[in-house]
Amino acid sequence: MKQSELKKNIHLSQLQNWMQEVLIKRGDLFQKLAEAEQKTDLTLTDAIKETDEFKAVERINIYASGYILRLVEALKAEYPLLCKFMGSEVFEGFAKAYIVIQPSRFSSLYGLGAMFPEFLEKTQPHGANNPEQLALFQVPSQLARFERAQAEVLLAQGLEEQDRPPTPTAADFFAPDNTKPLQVAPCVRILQLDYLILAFSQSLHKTKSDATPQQQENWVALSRRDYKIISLQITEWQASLLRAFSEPTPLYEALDSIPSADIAQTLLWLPTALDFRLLYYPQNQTRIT
Amino acid sequence: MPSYTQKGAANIAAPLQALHHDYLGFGIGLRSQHFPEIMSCETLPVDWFEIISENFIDNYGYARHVLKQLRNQCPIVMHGVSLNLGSSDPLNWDYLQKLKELSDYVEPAWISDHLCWTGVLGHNTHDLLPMPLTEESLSHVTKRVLQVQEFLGQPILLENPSTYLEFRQNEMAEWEFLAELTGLTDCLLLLDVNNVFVSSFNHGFDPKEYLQNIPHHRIQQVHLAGPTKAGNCLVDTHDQPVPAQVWELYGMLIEKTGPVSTLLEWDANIPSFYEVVAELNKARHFLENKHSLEMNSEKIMEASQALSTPVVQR
Repeated sequence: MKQSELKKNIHLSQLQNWMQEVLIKRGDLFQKLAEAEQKTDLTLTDAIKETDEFKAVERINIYASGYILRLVEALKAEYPLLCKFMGSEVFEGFAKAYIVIQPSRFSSLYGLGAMFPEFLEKTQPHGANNPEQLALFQVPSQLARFERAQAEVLLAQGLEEQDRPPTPTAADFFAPDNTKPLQVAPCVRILQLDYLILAFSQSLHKTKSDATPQQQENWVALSRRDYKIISLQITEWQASLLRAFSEPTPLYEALDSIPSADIAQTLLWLPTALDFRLLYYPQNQTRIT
Repeated sequence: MPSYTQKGAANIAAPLQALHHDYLGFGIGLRSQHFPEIMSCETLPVDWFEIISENFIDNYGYARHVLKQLRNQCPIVMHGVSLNLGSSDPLNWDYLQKLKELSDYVEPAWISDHLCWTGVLGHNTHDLLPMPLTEESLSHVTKRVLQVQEFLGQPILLENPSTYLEFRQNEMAEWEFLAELTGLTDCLLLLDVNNVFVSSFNHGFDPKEYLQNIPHHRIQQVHLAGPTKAGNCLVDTHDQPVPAQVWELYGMLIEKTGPVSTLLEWDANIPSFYEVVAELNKARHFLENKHSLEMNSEKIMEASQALSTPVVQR
């Protein structure tokens, strides 16, 4: 097939800018092509070879449609419960908008979904008429935060390679010379949520739920033991205590920084926190002061 | 290179004399879906594994644990999808640093990526986009391959991608571009036979001419996979058995190269580990001239819509 005269002096960067514009800009293919032309002064016929059987527009569309579909699939894989809760069609609508507004700048697809919870929070509709409707608007971003945290916990540095000392009893913490610093495990994530997302996610995992979770401020700690996720509903003081151990810190110092902490309760809970790999005794670490 | 225990890599000896001293035998892509089966193997039924580098960079979870076990049992090669070698953007040194750190950990037999670009202006489309095959591109990619090889301290392998479009500005065939590039940089080739087949179908060139002319002594590794016919084109879906046409091209290639490290890719609708191994073993049989009529009659499946899978998520 005869094509128009070949434009001269088109450089690598111009062709690549043109093609990327066609892939990542919003709109249908013809809107994308028009925008790419405006930005780079290149048209489809300037850039792409075609044959009678396989037109240039079909060729570029394989890349343009594949770009969106592939990234939507990646988000679905990272947020399966959210997709189940919202329904595939609604989820895809938000996912496509997110991909257009926030194109990936990450080497790995893992980074792609990092800002999706914030995106859902910023784009949630306003003007709910009742608590049920409000929950429908607010739960997606909360559920997304929970699923993103799970993904982070699975990939972060865990404690599996470390020797596991016997879990101390509450009494061991009473020892006057107990100044050994504790630290929160690197893979731990602590979430402050407005809905009871943990219980909701467990029921959503088992079945399709039309219900929405109960609205209630709550805290969830996520950790990993033997490469499996541990999710725990924790209290506000437990969340504060874990945060106090963000660096290697002796117990007495951590307690000093949390006036609301009940010492007896704390000592009873610490063995659980160690057993669930929320906290650990860092080895060969000097505290940064 | 790590020393391997007897648990794996038992089949590296090939029935024919390999031209390449780095011949590894037959491998598959390491995918998380297969971890339970792989970790319960007494003896690995494959000679080596290929990992997607990006799936292990910044990953300290179970996948890293599996990798740690496997790297002591058999050779591992690292295959990347984000080097963005052909991009007009500057090289991403943060990414390269992480790639090097992973390489120091894995001690791979080699590191590969693609003759492609994945994004410009800091973006990553997570797709392997076709290069304009021009003198300007050749000069640009040559400089970058040399920089990357110097940084990594070893030659890299470059793979020919599947493509669905060609630029009107192209001044040479892909095999010519790769032949020039390998000569200028001493880099090696990861020749994807399925990609040659897919691109030849989509652009109407002769795949046999491509395979005749590609520099055989530079081919260090081969990929095999199954594409999907979608409308008037073939799409590189990696979701089905290797079709007869690809086996024919593979047979033609190994006549030129001798035994070459061969990897089967299967990245969507992934069957069990042992089913993938069975498909890989067809390549072993091919090398031993045992290919059967059944293998040669594998048809390409069709779909109304197909999505290429160049980038595999962990």
